Amino acid sequence: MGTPGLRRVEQVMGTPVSVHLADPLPPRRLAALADEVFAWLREVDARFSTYRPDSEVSRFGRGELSIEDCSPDLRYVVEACADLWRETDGYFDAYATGRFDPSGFVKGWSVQVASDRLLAEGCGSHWINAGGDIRARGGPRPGESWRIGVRHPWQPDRVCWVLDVTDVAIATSGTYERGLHVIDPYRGEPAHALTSVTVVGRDLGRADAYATAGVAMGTAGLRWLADLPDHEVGIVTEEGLCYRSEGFPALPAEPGPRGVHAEPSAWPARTRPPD
Amino acid sequence: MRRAAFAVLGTAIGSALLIGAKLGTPTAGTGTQVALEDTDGAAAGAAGEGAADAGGATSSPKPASRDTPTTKATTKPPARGGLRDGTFTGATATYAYGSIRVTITVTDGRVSDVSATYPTDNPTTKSVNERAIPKLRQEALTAQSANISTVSGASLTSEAYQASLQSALDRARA
Repeated sequence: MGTPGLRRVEQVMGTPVSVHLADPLPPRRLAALADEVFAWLREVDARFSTYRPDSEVSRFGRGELSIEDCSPDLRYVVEACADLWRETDGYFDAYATGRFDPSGFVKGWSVQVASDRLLAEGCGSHWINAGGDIRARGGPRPGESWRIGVRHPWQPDRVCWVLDVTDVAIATSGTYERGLHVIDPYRGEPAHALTSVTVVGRDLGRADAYATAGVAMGTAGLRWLADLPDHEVGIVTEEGLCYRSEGFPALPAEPGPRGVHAEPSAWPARTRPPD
Repeated sequence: MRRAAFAVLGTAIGSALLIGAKLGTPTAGTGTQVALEDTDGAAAGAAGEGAADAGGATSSPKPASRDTPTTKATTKPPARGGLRDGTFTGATATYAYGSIRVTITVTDGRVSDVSATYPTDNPTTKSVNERAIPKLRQEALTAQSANISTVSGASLTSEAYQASLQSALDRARA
């Protein structure tokens, strides 16, 4: 790869999680830090899994555990989900399935905590990618930033944007990988107008919840996402139109063989960017 | 076949064993049927059996030279992770949205990298209309294969991905 540091991939919380630690620390130290990241994520998986009837979140969901008796972590998650429900006009709903299921927030939050801990332990150059949701800090080398792609919805081995970033949470939700699975809670049917929604912020739990809510809103999500304070957004609609906020950290598309415009014949000239 | 320039895709080390069972039970309506295609016969184990039940027909015939699963292992004995060091490519798995083939890299007995190739892809042609939104800049969708560290995208949970990944892991254990 040419990039220094440690890479590791494991399956946690039902999704592949990749970790890259880039600080020039001894290999043994980097391995120990990676061990801590995965140990924490597995702990979260056990405590917050709705599939395990004995997990803390399942006991809370059944009313066997009062909010006062919850761990500080679960209390934080419950309160964050309530905040996000209000902020998203109910489109992010941890009770959508009829019982408390904070999975849509917990994955991003737990990765955010892991990244915060790495920073506190002197590893300020890293990224953690949990099934496409990323918390990145620093860069591959001192003074360099990370280049992070946003997947092209219809060409799985291509990206539609390359983001140039050093300290961000990046979450993408979409309809292209699992079909139409994000339900509009007000209409009770799958949302389909926004194929891919990427939200860039500082907190991965929030960014992920906003991205999911944006998809659920359908066309109305365009305006709602555009108005999100302190976040940048990149959106691909089902018609293949792209929208992005002014501060979205996308690099210009690379010209030449490495940056090919999608299906030129399918796109009228007016929708292509000026060369 | 195009090789993904990135390695966002992950791997199943512990929970991967659950995957074979899932393959035999197609879920209604969501296109989760998976067929594993493997020309060297050594692949896939339980995942392969499940796939045969679920999918039946293997699709997307490819030149054998391209689809023969590849194993490039060193002679080092398995390290503590239980996997042989080297590069292992899984069988091609097809599903409703296309097909996928996963390659893993094992370093010191642990998975250090995962990538996927997509032997068939059908870029969806979409009609285009204009829609102006305040505060948002509209632009054309581009497809790039730039030099990047990792990729953000909707969660990769497809059974096809998991099945191909499992067969790559099986090879690393063999």
